[in-house]
Amino acid sequence: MNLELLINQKPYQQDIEPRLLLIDFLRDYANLTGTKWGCGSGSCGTCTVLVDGKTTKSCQMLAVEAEGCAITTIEGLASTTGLHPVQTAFWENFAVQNGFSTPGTIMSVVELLQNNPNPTEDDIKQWLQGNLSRETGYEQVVKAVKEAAERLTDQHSNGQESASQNVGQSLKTRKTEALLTGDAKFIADMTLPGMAHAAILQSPHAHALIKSIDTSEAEAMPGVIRVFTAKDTEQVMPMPVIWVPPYTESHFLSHPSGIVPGSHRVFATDKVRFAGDQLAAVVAETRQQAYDALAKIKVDYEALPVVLDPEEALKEGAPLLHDSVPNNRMLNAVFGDKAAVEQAISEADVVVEQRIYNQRMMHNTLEVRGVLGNFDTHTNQYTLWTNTQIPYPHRLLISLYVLGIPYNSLRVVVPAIGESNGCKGNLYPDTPLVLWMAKQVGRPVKWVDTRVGFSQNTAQSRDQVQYGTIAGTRDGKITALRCRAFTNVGAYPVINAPGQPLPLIGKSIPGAYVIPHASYEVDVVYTNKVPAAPMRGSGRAEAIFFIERMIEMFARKLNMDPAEVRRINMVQPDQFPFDNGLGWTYDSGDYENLLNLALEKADYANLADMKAEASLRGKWLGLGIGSYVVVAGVGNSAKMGGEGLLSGTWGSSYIHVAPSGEVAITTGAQPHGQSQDTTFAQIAAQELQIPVDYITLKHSDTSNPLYYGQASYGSRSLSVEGAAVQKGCQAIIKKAREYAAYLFKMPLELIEYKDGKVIGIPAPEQAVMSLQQVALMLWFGWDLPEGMDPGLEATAYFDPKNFNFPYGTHIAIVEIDQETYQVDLKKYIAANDFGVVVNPGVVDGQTYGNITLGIGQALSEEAHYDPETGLVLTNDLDSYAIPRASWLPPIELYRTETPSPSNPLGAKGAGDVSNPPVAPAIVNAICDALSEFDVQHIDMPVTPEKLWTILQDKQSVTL
Amino acid sequence: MIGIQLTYKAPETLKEALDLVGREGHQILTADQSLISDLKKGVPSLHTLVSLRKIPGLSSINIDNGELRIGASASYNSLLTHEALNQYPALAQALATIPDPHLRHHSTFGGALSHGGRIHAPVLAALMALDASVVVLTRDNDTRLPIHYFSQNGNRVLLPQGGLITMIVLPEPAAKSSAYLTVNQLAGRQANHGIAISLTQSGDTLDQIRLILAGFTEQPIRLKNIEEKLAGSSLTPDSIKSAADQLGQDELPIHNDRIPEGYQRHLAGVLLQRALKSLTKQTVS
Ligand SMILES: Cc1cc2nc3c(=O)[nH]c(=O)nc-3n(C[C@H](O)[C@H](O)[C@H](O)COP(=O)(O)OP(=O)(O)OC[C@H]3O[C@@H](n4cnc5c(N)ncnc54)[C@H](O)[C@@H]3O)c2cc1C
Ligand code: FES
Repeated sequence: MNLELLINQKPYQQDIEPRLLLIDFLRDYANLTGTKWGCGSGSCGTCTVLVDGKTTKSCQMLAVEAEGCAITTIEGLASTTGLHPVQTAFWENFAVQNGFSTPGTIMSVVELLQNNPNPTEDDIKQWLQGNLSRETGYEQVVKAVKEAAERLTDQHSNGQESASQNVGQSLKTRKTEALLTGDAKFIADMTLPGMAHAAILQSPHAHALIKSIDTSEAEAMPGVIRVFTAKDTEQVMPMPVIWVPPYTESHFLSHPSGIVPGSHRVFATDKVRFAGDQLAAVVAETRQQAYDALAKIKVDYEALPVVLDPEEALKEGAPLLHDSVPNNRMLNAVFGDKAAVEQAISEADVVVEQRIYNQRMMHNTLEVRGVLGNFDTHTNQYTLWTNTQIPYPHRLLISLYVLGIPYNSLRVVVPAIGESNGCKGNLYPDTPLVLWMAKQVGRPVKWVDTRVGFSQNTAQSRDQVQYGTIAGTRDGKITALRCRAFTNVGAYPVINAPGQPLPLIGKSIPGAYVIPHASYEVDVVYTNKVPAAPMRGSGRAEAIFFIERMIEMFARKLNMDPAEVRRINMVQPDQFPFDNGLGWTYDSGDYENLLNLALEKADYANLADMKAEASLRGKWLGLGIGSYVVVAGVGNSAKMGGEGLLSGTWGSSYIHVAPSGEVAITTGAQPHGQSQDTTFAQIAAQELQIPVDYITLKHSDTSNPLYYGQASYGSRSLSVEGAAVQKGCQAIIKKAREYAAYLFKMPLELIEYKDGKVIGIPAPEQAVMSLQQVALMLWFGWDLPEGMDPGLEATAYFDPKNFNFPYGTHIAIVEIDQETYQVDLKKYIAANDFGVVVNPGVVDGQTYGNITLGIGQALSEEAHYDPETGLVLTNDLDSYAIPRASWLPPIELYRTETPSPSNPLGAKGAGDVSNPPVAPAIVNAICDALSEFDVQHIDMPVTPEKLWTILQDKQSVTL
Repeated sequence: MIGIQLTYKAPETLKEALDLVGREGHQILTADQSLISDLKKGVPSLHTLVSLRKIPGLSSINIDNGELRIGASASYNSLLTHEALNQYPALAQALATIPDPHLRHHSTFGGALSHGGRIHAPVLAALMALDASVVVLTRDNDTRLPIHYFSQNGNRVLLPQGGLITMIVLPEPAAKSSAYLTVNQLAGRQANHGIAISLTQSGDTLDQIRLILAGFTEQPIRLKNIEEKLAGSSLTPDSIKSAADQLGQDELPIHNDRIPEGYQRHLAGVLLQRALKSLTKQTVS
């Protein structure tokens, strides 16, 4: 059909299929890729454009229905005079992190402000109901919208910009403009000449024998280039596992390398073990053709019994997933002295026991995963573009352990990348598969997942059953803590599968408290669920939920104030370094101080009055505390090796000072929304005492001049990779000073580095050179001291002696409707200490994101499976409910800065550390609200129907 | 991506459209959201979409003879910005439960009736409480069906084959008061549970009452027995309570199995009592 329309005031005309959606027309025909595809079902809003001025999700409109319309996309917003005021306000207010949801949100806001020039906070949150954010949450977005309204009505006065851009300043984030204008290219936005498209077939059975696969009909479909199944990929090795705990027996799968154990193959061979296991792929000329053909592949399965629960899976006679793994047990591990804990429990005045289920979560990033692979026959070089958190490990693991190709033949590039929340920190079988297929078909091949595909193939997280016991004295002192846990890792081990259930949870369960006897025993178990992996807050979230619920129950059993019980047991400032008894040595802090601060801000002293007032309105009000201290800043390489991680975890940087004076820093970090381009430049600017604008950050490409990058995860970037940047800058200064000492003929001690210059102290007017002059002279290399090489560059590594331990206390205040049991979050207070903070705007953004995710876990998110078939039922963003703007209460952030001795910056992690206290604070608040009914515990997500079920027994329902 | 091949037709007159909609595999498209979502999941029996976008007049909203006439292709937003809406509080409040501007712009009243779906439940319930009627055109005639036709005991009743909805008509509000109440659900995975109510009173006596629950059944359901029991009486705390107690399986067959039935029945009772209390307060005062 012929389609004519205006896009950004430019006429377009095209012959199209009637089934083409507007989003696909915009992206594939008009090449306007600023409009993003997130869910395809009208839920997420990343595809929002304006059609005749109206906010429209372009995935929900046929292109033909836009005939004759005027469309505005994100690309049409900025003008020759600059960004649109909404774009500017988003930038100024740190409302952009990875930027995937930014274009769609901005487009909605443009219409809002046209209709309503002065929206209230509530108006904004309601209007944004259709735009999800899985990164920063909504707080900074709402602020940005308010400011945009002022800018559009000329009420905005530009604030005083601070002269300093150094550490401690909220410098506006860099490399953000392309995210605001839609110019940034994410994986789905990339094309290469001659590129073909892949679709991957996933098993609809959670456990079945593969009897036969018939691809003949698919092969005959229009546009099909090749169809691949397991018989084609025998030479491709299984995925490796790179975390093998040395202190316990573990059962992974075999791997031909003999060096590491293995996991699943790129295609299931004899049987499928989870609904989503992949078993064939089509490469075709277009994506539509690939998916059309995929639907024609016929597989004959023989269904087998399914097991989804870890405790069931351990029982004799349970369906067995892997012949080589008895009882489906990957491993059993114990931390702490179990016997001593038993003893302490038996001697305690008070003992509380509780089963807690930390539910299975889905990362559900709005950007799904994708891969573009290419093999150049002339150079024998492979290039892999993919949205991963870990490009260097991809290079190493794929070349060495999966494809068996030279490390030096593979380059991995990360384009602009959307949220990860941890799920993009794995190696998935689709990734080497696409690269391998590109070589087979002799053309670049791109695969971008679907939302249903993502729900079945992308790692999920948490999913641990915990049997807890807490014991102590009558006056509130905890004497023992025991956790017996069962972790459901799904059907196969991911690369670092043991990391989360073992040290990250096991060593973290004492939380912020001195607990003389603590133990943790876990069985890590295979089931027919999607493989599980870390998720933002990982391990620490399960541990902190556990301890913060247990201490709450303990306090209630004693009839003591839960805040006071925390105080009594908290690690005190004079106890650092503090060995928590299970393996972590806490670095620094004043835990009680933040507890008290949060309580004061929450008006804790007046809680009884608040409850009474709410009760008059038919509400039960509750206040919940979540105190935390969590491990961050992975980590000391030897310590991580001791845990079983077959990799170093040092930070690395390469600093290059060009003869022009420009500084290029290559970092081992892999940004995916944490703004390292900004914060690392601030560190370097402070260290080198030069303007930030002289500094460029490089990352996301393994061909950058860096030995290896250990990437970004577990809140390590700033405190480890950032410290390596600082160290590299110090090496530059050292060389500059040594060179100056030689040139000025002065002893080194008399050469000062100040304001970006080397200065001979005895003659500061004459003996002075800028860093740029030093770089130029060293580039000439005409006159060098003995033993000095030309050039001004440095490679630096930083391997911290210890982790760092951010901490704090969060408080949630909730109200529960006494008739409907709806839970309403009224207020949220977060008091955190992330050590020395480089950029408060950035860190606040990370914190809001962590809180939003925690709210989701507490109140709505859970992966649901069909108990019979093992299919993921929550396979879109309608059935899996991510927090939306209107759910969020006013959030108040407070911060103290206690430097960490673990790194010279004094920084602690911030990326995911403030997630763990959120869910327990909310569930504690809910249990507090229901204290008159003696509700000990409620598993997450806490829904009204769960509350009704529990309270039915406990109250006579009077309406 | 839509996996099935489609033909698209956009007739310019109602006559041409009627000629097409009676045919096998043809389906009307009013830009509404539910159909597009279904197409992505695959509707095997469908091969041709008949778009109404080029037929003039179907998006209009006007008042005629005291009746509010809403074109089948009129969007929720166009009604939201129409001054007549404040005569119909139940409908205004039901529309307010759909804050997403995209849904407001692209959900249509015709779509709500032809395709149904969760997001439309509040609006349909309000229309039912307001005794709307639906103008359905077939090749032979032009009938007005009461809106209640579309819900039989909470099940969706499809449009007569070959029929095309052109308009929804709301009778003059007269002295009727109405409301739509919902519960403030955080979790998006839940159906939009709510209740639409309208009533007329003479003094303290209820003349006529409509009670429609949304979100519990496939299509909003009218609580006929309770309506009959309450009509002609005056509301007291006791009669309100006993109305709620009547919400058994016969009166309310629960279709939504994602949430425990007992809770839903409880919630329905709460909504019913809140609705009755809220309106009687308004009318009595
Ligand atoms: C193998 C693997 C394991 C993972 N494990 C986990 C896990 O255990 N838990 C989890 O939740 N997620 C995990 N993820 C995902 C991870 O959470 C996110 O990638 C995380 O947000 C990374 O943050 P970061 O390392 O950049 O954090 P950080 O360095 O803490 O912070 C993010 C950004 O905030 C700024 N910032 C941080 N600290 C400061 C400071 N003190 N001063 C100023 N600015 C600061 C910097 O710009 C920094 O780049 C994992 C991923 C992988 C691949
Ligand atoms: S992609 Fe259109 S709403 Fe999510």
